[in-house]
Amino acid sequence: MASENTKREKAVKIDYLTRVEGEGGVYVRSESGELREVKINIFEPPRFFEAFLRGRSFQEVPDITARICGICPVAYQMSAVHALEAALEVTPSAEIRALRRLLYCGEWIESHALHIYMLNAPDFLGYESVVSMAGDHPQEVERALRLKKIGNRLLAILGGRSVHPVSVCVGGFYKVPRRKELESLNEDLHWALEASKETLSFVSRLPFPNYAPDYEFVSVAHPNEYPMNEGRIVSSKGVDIAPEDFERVYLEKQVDHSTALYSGRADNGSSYFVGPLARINLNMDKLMPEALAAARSCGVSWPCRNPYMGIVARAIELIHVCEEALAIIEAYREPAASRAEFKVCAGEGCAATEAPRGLLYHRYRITEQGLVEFARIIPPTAQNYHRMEDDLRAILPGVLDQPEAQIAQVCEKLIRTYDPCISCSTHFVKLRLERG
Amino acid sequence: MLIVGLGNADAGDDSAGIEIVRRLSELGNCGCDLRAETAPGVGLLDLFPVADVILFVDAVSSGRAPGTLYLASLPSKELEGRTLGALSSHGWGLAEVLELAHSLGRAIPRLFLLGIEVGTVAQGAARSPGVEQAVGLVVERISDLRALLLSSEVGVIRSFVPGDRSFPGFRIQDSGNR
Repeated sequence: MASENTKREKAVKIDYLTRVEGEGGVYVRSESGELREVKINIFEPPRFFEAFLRGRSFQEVPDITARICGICPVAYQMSAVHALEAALEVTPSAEIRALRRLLYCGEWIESHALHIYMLNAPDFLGYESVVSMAGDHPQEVERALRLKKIGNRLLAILGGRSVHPVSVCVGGFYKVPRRKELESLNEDLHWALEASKETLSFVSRLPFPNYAPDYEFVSVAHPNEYPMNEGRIVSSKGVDIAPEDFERVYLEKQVDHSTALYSGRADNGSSYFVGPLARINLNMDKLMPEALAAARSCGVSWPCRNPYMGIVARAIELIHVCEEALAIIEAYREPAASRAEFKVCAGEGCAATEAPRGLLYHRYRITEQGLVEFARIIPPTAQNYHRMEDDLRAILPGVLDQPEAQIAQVCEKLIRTYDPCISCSTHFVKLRLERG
Repeated sequence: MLIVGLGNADAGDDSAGIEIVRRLSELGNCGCDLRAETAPGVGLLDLFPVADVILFVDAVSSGRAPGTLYLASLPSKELEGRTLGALSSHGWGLAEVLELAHSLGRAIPRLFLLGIEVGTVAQGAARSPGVEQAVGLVVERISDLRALLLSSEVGVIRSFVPGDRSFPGFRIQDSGNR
C-alpha cells in the first residue's frame, strides 16, 4: 500500500488485492475529507478468449472456455454448452440434465468451501490469512480442506479430472459414470452435508458490519429448481426476461482504469448484484428441504441486503448442493446414450447459468460448418465490479478519517465478500489504431 | 520416498520437474513413488501422509546459469523468499502449504527440494541445453540422490553448476552402502 498527502488531498492505493483470484487493486482519493474518486483497477492482462474462439469448432468451446478459471471451469462449460445447444436446437435428455447439475454441485462445493473458509472468514475473525486462522480454528480449516477435496473428487469422477474437467460436450458427456462410481461418493457427501450445516452455524455467528443498500439482485430463476443450469433471468427490481434479452437489459462498457468490462442496466446505467445472496433472495423457496430449513433458522432475515452476509448465503448453498448431489445420485440410472444426436447447422444461441460467484452469460454464433463466428462471455465478476465501486463510495466516507491501513482493510473486506475472480473477468482490450 | 515433479509440461524450462518424473517412470524401478503435479495448491497437503520422505522437483529462478541444480531440506528460510514463492498457483505454493500444515499441527514428513534453475519459460518453448543436461543428470543419479535423502539431512543448500557431475554430492559405492 502506498499513499501521498498534500494539504487537503489524501490518496489511498491498495496496489495488490490479496485473497482474491487474479490481479487487481483499488484507488481512493479524497479532498478535504470528501470522497472524490474510487476505482477498482483491474490490471490483470486481457485474455482474448472471445477472440480466439472464433474459427474454432463449436465442440472445442467447452474445453477452451473451461480454461478461463481453475476454480469454476464447470460454470464456463455449462454456459457454453447450453448456449451452443440453443444455437443448434439440441435438447439433452433428463438424465444428462441431472448429471450436469451434479457436476455443478461438485464445483459449488469446492468453490464455496474455498471462499468461505480460506478467503473470506479471516476478514471477520481478524486474521491476515487462513494460515494464521488455522492455528486458532484448526477444526474449521480441516473441515474446509475436506469439503474442498470432496467437491474436487466429484468433479474428477464426473468430469475426468478435478480441475478443468474434460467430459462435457455439446449434447451431453463424452462418457457418463457408472452408478457404482457415483455411489462411492455417498459417504463423503453425507459427511459434507453435516459439515455444511456446521459451516452455516460457524458463519452465522460472525460479526457483520451493518450495511444494507437497495441493491438490484439478479439471478437465473427456474420454476421447479434452484437456479443453476437453466431458466429465465430475474431481478429484485422486476426484471423477468429470457436469456436472449439479457444484453438488451444489461450492458457491458469499457472503463479506462480496467482491463475488465463494467456492467450496468442498459436503461439508466445503474449497477446490479449477482452471486449467492442474489440467488437466495430471488429463489429461496427452491432450496432443498434441509437448506431451506437452515436458511429460515439461521437468524438472517430474508431477503437479505447486507453484502457481508454473502458468506451465510454460500453456507446455505453448500447445504443445498450436498443435498441435491445425494438426491441426484440416488435417482441416477445410467443413460442409454451419453449424448444427444444432432445435425450441425448455422445458428445463434445464448444461455445464462449460475457460477459459484453469480450469473455467467454466454452467446455464440456458429456457421454451417460448426465454426464459431462470434462469442460473447459475460462473467459474474465483471458484472459485480460496478456494484463493488458503488458500495465503496457508500462505505468509505464513514472511514476516511481512519489510518490508511484501516481504510485499505475496509476496501478489501467489502470486495472479498463478492468472491471476485479477476482472472475470469479480464477479457477485453481497447484497440487504438492511428493511421498516418 | 515420494518424488513429486512440479511445473508446466508445455512451458520450456518450467517442465523440468515433470520431465524428470516422466523419465523415471518410463525407466521404472527407481525405488521411489512418482507423481506429477501440474497445478500445485493446497492439495499438496494430501501428499504429506503418503511418504516419510518427499522430494519436490521444480524449476527455480535466482539468476544463475540455466541448469544449475539446488538441493535443500525444507523448510528453508533462504529458499522461501527467493524461490518457493515462484511455486505459487493462485497463491498456494509449497511455502504456504507448509505453513498451513504447521498451523494445523499436522505431521510433516521429511521434505526436500531439488531446484533446477530456469533459462526460458515460455509456452511451447524447448528446454534450454543446460536444463536438458540437468534433467539427464538427475535421472542418471537418482539412486545416489535417493540414498542420500533417505540417510541424512541436506543441511545448507547445495548447489551444482551446469555440468558438475559431482551431483548430488554422494555416491553409493563410496559409502559402502550398496
